[in-house]
Amino acid sequence: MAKIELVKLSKSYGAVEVLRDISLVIEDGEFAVIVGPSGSGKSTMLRLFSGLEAITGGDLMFDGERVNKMAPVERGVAMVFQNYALYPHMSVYENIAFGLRERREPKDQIDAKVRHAAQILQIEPLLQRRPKQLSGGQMQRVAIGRAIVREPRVFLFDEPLSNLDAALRGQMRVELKSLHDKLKNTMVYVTHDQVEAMTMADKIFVMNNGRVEQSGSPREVYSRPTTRFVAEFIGSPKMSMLPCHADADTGMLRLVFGGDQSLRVPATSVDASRVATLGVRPEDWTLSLDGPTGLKVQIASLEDLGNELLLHVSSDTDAFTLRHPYTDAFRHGQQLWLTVASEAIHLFDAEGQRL
Amino acid sequence: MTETFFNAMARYSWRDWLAIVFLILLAVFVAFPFVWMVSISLQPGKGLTLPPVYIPDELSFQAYRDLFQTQVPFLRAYWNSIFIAAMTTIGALISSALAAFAFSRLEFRGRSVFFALILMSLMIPLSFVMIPLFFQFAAIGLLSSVWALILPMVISPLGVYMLRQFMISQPKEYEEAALVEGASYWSIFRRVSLPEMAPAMASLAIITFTASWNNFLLPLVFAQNENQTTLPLAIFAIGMTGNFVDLAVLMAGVVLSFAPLFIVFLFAQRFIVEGLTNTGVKN
Repeated sequence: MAKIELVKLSKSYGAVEVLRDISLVIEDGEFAVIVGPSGSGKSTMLRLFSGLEAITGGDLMFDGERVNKMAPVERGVAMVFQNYALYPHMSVYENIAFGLRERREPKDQIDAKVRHAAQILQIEPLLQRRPKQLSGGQMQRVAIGRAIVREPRVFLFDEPLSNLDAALRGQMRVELKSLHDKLKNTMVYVTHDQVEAMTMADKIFVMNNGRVEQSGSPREVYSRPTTRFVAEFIGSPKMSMLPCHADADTGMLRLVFGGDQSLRVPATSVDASRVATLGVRPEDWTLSLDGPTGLKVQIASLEDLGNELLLHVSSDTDAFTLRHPYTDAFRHGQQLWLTVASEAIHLFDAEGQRL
Repeated sequence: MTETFFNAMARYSWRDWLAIVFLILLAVFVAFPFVWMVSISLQPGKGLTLPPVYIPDELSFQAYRDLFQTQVPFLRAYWNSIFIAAMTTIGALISSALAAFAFSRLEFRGRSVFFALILMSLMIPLSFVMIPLFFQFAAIGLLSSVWALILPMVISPLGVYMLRQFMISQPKEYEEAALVEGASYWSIFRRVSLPEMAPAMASLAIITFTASWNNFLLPLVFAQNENQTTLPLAIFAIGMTGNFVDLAVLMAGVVLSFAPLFIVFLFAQRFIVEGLTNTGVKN
């Protein structure tokens, strides 16, 4: 197990800076999820951890020891790749034993470790098969088995579930999390899927454009996003973002939207002159069929998810999505009036910073 | 039965039939010299007749017996050709695989320049470097050795190119996974990359073996003694021996030299096509 510390870490390919001055700490035994859109630098960060890419600036520390120049094997990391990278010409057993054989461990010890890992991952009947004879989920387990047997200080996962179907993804999420509970190793998991990030992480690092936009517990990141980017990236359907300006109005804040609509929310300590965007989670709106209080919108379409409805609505100037427990009260084309509780509003300035 | 045959015929359009007829004609055109070659070898003493006799009245294997009675050491040449082609193939496979691994998986300064140089060497025919090579081998005292016919062909720019292109079409995560697991570069090459390259190596093996087997110019210039005589040289010698050329004996020699390649091609044509089509295709 290891505590990972990044101090002003940078990575450039020639003139192109992929990661910029990243400083963060992943605690010993933590399940850290690095999440972000394609091209945000999250996979590069994982490759820097593994030693597959050279660091061009700053320091990477494992348990206080600088590992910048260390070879991958000296760092004590194990990595699970997006495409599993199982050697096609070797059996499952040989795949799992590969790293141990490289370390020239005694045969009986290798056998015991491989069988123990296979038992944990419930792949014992597959040990003599070749990778091409396995399903996606089974290949995933073998790749994890290959990582487990080496007893690494840090597990690195590079979008390991992205090739699986939705049902299997859900199952593997639970299994990976329970594996972490069992092994208690430091695990760093990269994904672009915010559901994986929310459900698995002890700590989330949201990346954008080569920087960590926000880090914190899933609850913290969801309920108090520090930037507009994080607010929109985390959560599905994404947070409604309504451009507005604000006036202080007798202890209240009056948010004025395009088309002269306005919404009064209890005043906070926010500087009204800097307000540029109101953000509200789809489930945080209060819906009313009776006006005229609130923001007037029209239902453009409805999606019935069984237990809840997704209502795609449009105001005079904006279109966004609301989430509501199932009811048959709503119809296409209906008008709704929306209000929001003060604790559910997220205000951002013109630069996208939380106010 | 007839119905089935006609049903099958009906599936093809007139364009298909046109293509089929064209391909049959092409196959006949290509196969014709080979068939004639075999036919002549089975008609000793007759030589070329007009009109040519393609299907002899009487089959005789006398020319094949006579082949081994000539002054030309045909059997020795046969063995030499097998040894030289096999050693050249093994050498080319090893050197090309190592170079392809380096060019596709290792980062080093000047990688692109070196690879460009190798590609450029593809454009230089062997005959251009024949004389310098001759002096080089003479200087190191290998000219009268069979290795003088092997070593110049062991470094194969085409092989490096083929295997390198194949490797860059494969996911590099295999090697990265092995690196993270603590494997040395040598171990990665041997245990991961080499098996990965197997299909492309199979086609390279066939191409190299064939090229070495058919190589005429290099042995013609380099061969100093009987130990270096190869099949193309032996057949050439049979054609040049004495005043009278027994065409049947000559063709018997050609048939025997052609037979191993024909058999290999028959069984391995799939690998050749796969190997050639795989290279350069990026997933």
